[in-house]
Amino acid sequence: MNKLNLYNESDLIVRLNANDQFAFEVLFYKYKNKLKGFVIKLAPSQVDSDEIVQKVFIKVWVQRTKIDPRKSFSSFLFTIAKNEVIDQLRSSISKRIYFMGHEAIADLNISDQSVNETQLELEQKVVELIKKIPERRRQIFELSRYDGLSYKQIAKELNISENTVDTQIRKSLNYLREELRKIKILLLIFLSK
Amino acid sequence: MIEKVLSLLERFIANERLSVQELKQLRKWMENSENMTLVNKWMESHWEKAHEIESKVVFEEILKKIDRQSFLRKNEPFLNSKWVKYFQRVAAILILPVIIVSSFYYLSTQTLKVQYSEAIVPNGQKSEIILPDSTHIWLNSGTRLRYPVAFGKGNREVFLYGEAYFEVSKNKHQPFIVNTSKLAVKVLGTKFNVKAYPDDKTIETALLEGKINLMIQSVSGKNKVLEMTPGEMINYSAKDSSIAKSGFIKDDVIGWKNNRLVFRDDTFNNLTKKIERWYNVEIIYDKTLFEDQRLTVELLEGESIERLFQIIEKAINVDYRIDKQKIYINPKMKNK
Repeated sequence: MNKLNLYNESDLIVRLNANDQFAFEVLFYKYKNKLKGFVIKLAPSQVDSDEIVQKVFIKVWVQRTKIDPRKSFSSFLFTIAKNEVIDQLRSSISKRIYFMGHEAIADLNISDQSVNETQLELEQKVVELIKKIPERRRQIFELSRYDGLSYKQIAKELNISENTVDTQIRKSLNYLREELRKIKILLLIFLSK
Repeated sequence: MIEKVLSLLERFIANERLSVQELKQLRKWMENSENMTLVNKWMESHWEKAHEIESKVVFEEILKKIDRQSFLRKNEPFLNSKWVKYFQRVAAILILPVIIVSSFYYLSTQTLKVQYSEAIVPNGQKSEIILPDSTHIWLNSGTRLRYPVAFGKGNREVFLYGEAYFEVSKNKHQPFIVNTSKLAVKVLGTKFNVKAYPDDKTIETALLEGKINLMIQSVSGKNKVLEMTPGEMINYSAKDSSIAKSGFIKDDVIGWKNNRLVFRDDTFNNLTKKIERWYNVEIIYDKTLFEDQRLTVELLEGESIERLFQIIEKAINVDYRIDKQKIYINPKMKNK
């Protein structure tokens, strides 16, 4: 009968504390759907909920040695999920402000006229393009444009020079302009046919 | 005030249009840590009443993303002569010229550290394996089995994700345990089949000979033990923890082992899943259209997928198109 304890949650956590991958897997399958239900309810709709589910479980593994077997796993998972969802919400709100505040338009020298009707489409397009910027450069760009930090603040936070911040943002903008221009040309070709 | 901001947040989540002013207010509010206690409470109530929604995330994807190194204990460097020693100690014998990828890691339990190896059978393949205690295991398509390199003094334990047929060698002192994500099967020496694919809604255990104990974990965390007798099949539904007992036709359950694909009154959804694993294909169809279809098909050994679809086409009046690894199923067009 000893072996029955295998599925006792606090035992699973003890095993997880000791790097047991199977215990991790059992907990994953037990909670992944509940987590998805939670994420779908609360995370911004633009973010892929399964991606968040994945992120949360990776964080669980990273913190596996710190989970207290005397407490419920559910509440531990909630804490991680909650923090992830809040982060996503914050970043999503900032993004929306950036695009709605016409800051993106100014950044990319797009004429205001052409934008009005296709505002949402354009926003999606730019968001997609931003995703393709190399991670480090993108991080700098997002801190500046989405979170509204000054070059000085970014430099301090990432421990790099202000000059680097400037170059990286310039490169990001040039890339975005270039890609958008391509899209426009494509559109023109398409329309003129 | 607080209600207003929370409702702003709710509207934002629902993807409703907010003004820039409202968004800025929301951002400011979210940056204030004092407000987070409120957000916390609000989210907690959502957590408690969260409905389960099928997540498509697969465990393997997570493993891939986790640094491999982190699985290994710090004092056991990954690349050293242990690898060589390891291969010398591999005691399991793999039969059949089927690709079996093995990966190795340490699983530590409280009492003893057991070294595990893993056999992975891709979709479209089948394999057999003989463990050090001469237990013989047949593995169906799309199955993973984790087994100890050597059995210690305690239980003989394996971990199954998928379907396998076991002929466990008798040993009164060392029970043999098959762990799945939802239940465990404990035996002393018997013949039985376990079907426990992680993406299936149910786990099927069928006993051919001997005696086994099925250990099921209920939602409340309590465990239930069911004794099974030969000829019995237990169908466990993970969704509501329900258990259905029945008999079975031997060929339906272990026909796969003899390379025979059998469907007996299978739902269309079950049928497509089986085909996907068996032939390593992807089947694309509108799930709502075929929900109520049930099918019984018995194929001869090694029958081709074309032949199978010829049968299905006639049986339920559909059109199908095979395009490389993908199969598209549509209702037959009616003549105008």
